[in-house]
Amino acid sequence: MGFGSPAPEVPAPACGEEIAAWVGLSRLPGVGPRTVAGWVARAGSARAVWQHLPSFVQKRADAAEILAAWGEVDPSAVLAGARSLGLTVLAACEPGFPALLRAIPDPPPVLYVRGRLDEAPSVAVVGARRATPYGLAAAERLAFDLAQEGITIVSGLARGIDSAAHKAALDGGGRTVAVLGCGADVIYPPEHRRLAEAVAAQGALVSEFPPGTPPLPGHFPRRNRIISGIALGVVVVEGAQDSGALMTVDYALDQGREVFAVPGSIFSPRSRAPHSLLRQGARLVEGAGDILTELGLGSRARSTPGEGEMVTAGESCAVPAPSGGAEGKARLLTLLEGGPQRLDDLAEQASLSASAVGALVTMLELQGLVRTLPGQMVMRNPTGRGRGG
Amino acid sequence: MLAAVLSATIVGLEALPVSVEVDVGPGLPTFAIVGLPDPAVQEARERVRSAIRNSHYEVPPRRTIVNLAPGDRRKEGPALDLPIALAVLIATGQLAQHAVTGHLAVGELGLDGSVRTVPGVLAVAQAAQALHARGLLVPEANALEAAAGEEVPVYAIPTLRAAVQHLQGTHPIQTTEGAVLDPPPEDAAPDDLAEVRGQGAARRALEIAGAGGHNLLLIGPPGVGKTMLARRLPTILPRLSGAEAVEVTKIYSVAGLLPAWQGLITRRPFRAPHHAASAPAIVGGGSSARPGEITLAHHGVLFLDELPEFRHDVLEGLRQPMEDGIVVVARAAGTVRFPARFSLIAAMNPCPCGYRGDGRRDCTCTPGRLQHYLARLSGPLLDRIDLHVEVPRPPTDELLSGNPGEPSSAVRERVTVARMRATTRAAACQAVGLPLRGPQRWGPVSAEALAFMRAAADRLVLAARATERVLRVARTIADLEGAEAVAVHHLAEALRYRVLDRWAPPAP
Repeated sequence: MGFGSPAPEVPAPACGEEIAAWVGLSRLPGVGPRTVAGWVARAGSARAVWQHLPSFVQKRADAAEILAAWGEVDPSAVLAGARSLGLTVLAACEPGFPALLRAIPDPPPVLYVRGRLDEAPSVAVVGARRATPYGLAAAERLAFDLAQEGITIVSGLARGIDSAAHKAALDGGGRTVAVLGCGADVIYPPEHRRLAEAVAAQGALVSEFPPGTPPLPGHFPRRNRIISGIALGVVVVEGAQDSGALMTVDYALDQGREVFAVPGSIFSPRSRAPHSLLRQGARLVEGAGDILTELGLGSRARSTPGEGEMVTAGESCAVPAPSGGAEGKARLLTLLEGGPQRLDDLAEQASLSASAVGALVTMLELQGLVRTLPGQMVMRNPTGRGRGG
Repeated sequence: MLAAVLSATIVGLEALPVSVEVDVGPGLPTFAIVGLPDPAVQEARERVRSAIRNSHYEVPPRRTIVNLAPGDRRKEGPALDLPIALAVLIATGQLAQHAVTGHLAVGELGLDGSVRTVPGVLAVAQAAQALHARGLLVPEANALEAAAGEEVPVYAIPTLRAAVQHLQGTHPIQTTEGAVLDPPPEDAAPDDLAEVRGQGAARRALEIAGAGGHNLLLIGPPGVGKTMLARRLPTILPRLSGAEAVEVTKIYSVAGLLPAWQGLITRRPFRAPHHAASAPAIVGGGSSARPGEITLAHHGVLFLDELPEFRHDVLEGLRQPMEDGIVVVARAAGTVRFPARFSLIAAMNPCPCGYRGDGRRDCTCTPGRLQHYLARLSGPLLDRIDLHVEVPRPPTDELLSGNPGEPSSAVRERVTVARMRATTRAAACQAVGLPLRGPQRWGPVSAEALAFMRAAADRLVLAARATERVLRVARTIADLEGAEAVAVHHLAEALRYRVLDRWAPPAP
């Protein structure tokens, strides 16, 4: 893995002044992360830049604005404010700042963190917000299996693939990091509030934007570079031709990260993004093992997905397996191996009445072996067990 | 000279006997009606005078006073034309009082003396029966209806002149025969469940709804046959009993919706009001306290398509009648009670754009919009809907070449048997003094089933009320199967019909 960027050396234990300087630099209007990184590289420390800021900006057209902000920003107040919201402030100079992220060309000067970041290897799983059941299942399966191997799953807390990946990682008992396009104290989309709490408890919510920043459209492309920046590789599950996931991939390539793609149906417009990546040489992913092998991780890596790892009926589930119907259940599970099926079709193929098939599917659902999707479609649970059970 | 003829006016669903008194005396030629007549009754003046003249009788130019007793109740509609005309003829000596006494007459008069149909004749027949009337004179087109319910002799009156000649005995009219069979023969149903291809789960839910009297919510994209399914619920419900048929006919008659020449209504009604309907139109009421859609659906099915589009006050207004089977409509002159025991079927799209889970098109709804859409459903109303089931879009080939489903008659048999089981169980409960509400009603539940239910409620985060609904539905499923105790597979199936609980689980 080569990171060809002018990274600052691994920092000496940062003193408060240095941290304050990073915070101050992150709040200057019109000064992006790349500029800050450049200045700090030149001056040797953020403190030096902060103290001699006029000399850095004098040639800029917006020098007056920047210097006005320079006079107003009180880094210690920003720090105190964030801490009062329960956020940890990580400056790029601090040892806790993700090393991989520090090495990208435009690292965020400061990260606001809810929860805890650690140095465990991580993989980003990104994709379409409006995903198909297949895509969601694929994201869940990969995130679940990777999480069980001790890999941290990074994503963007968006609807669709992102949230499926976060949830499956949590279900797999692993860690997961959500990189936000708004303040770390603001949750977007709002229906993910509970998910966000769970992520903060079992990983971290991360943002480069100060607390209270609203989720503006322009923020999301920027945060994508952090998603790929934290991770060793990026897995794209589904996406249309112009998907935001492709933007994350562009960052990943700039940053020298591995890019993986999960193939989809040739009939689905959501397969365009992963398929075009595959055509350009992205690694094809059928299971977590493909990712682990490529990244040289995980001794217990599995090479083929799925087979034989399904929890059998009655095992490891909170609901007592009712007597009877075992044969019917086994038959339904076999019928579902080829993919989701309509309930009516299941009944017909299994020669069961609508009432019997309904009862059996509910029992399987409660055992976490299958799921009912909108439209009375039944599918096997991709992670082999129920969610949040 | 003074004359009196019995008639009746409709109040709510019942006929209130009215004594029509006429006094013709010396004075300036006037014709006045007193005794709280509404405008339609006031206009009887003109119709009655013309009808008498055109029937070749006379209206002497004298002071004529018509009094409608009791004087403190409002009289509505033109049904009093015929009795007023008869009383005028008596008072002017053209007809003998004794020939009319004991008869009850209703009918609107045309200027030519013809007798036209009026609403509520079946209710009038019941009132005549209660008064032990000698005979009941009704418009020809209402005669079958009047004869359907009661034993009072019914005479079909084509014209005023025919009424007079019948009463005088010069040209007697035959009584109209009608007999109430129990259950009445049913005219051929145009809809049959056999026409619904595929949709196994929805058909099954319909059968359970019929067997247990459960309310049902169908959720599916536009054009998949939700309305078609709902329309067929009446065809699988047990047939109307004679008494029920009389009740239904009476309601339609009062509402003026009974076709002329129609006897008893023998099919369960199906009402599908539009979602823009007002609360009085649905629940009943308005200035003249007319029965609303829920009363017209009495002993039948009320279908609310596009449930979330209905006005909030309309849906709220359904709660009390659904609980009591009766709606109480308050009006200025007191309250009127209408029966309203109906099966509710509601339908809705799975999301605002309608394509959630459709497979053929992508749903464009954000989770926020979906939540907002579901939140429009009135919680207390949903609490009274035991079954929610998805009606997915069937593949095209299933519509074209799928096997015809089971006919309504076969399903109706099972439904009828299941209902009898429930009735027997309820009677047994009553016999040993157990309350009809609460778990006793569900009969025995196996220990295994109870453990399963507890675990399932935990896992699916079901509210206590939803759990009770599941138990009730499971009981019906067991009844359909002929099982004594509720077992695990009954509960498992019942859990399938709680789609909305899964989409929007209650906050813990």
